[in-house]
Amino acid sequence: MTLDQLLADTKPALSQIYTDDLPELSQARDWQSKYRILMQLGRKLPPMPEKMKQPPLLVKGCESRAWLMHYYNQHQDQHYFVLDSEARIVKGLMAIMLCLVNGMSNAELKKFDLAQAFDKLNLKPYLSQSRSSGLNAMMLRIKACCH
Amino acid sequence: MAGATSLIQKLNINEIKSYKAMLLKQFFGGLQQIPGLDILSSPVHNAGIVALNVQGEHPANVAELLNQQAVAVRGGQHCAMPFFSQLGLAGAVRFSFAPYNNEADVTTSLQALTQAVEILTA
Repeated sequence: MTLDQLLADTKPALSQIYTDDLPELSQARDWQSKYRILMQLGRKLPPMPEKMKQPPLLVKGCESRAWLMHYYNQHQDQHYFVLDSEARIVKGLMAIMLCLVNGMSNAELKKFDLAQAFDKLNLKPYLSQSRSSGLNAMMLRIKACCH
Repeated sequence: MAGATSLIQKLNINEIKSYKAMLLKQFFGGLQQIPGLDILSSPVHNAGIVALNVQGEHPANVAELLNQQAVAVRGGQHCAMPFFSQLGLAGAVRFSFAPYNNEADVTTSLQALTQAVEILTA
């Protein structure tokens, strides 16, 4: 599998998560429901083939291993990412992050405020300190792809 | 560290040992009622640490669901990467019991773990 194929498989999954799952997630009233949805999201993203999970793609600062790949469409000024994690809650949270940032321009990505976005989804109070640190590490890695 | 040392000096070390053994007995007994666990720690010669995994789950998931229920555990490789690599495990969830814990804490931990397993296997 190539990065192009992985990006093509990830795109409809992210689109479905954005339209169907994010509203459901923000309306879920208790932590059990939120986490059940988060774990389902992790399953919706296509897995990154083992061969592609090379050490340079590992995101430091995550409690469980997570890998991030980046593609920049220079003509259209759009950033695209694919990711995987060995922990499905982490993968679900990162799927949300990708939904929000995939296709952003340099300027949009630089301005993007993850904490504010998670606050809007009513997720912030449900994240442990170590989970927030892992997400911030992933966000720093994503923002480092800006030119 | 000074506070912890001072507390231990005030307590009888044998009493601490038998108190923790009582908590561990309760905890290990409760674990037998929860399906789908791989218990890595031995109930004997145990200083108060119980490492376990929910079968097929990354320990970070289990730790996160316990954290939601105000049960603080460590989940991961506990700075022992070569050891866990040798075991072929991504890590473990580590419960630690100390003299400041009581039977209610053990009960809470078991209930929280039961709920975490239910969510993960639903």
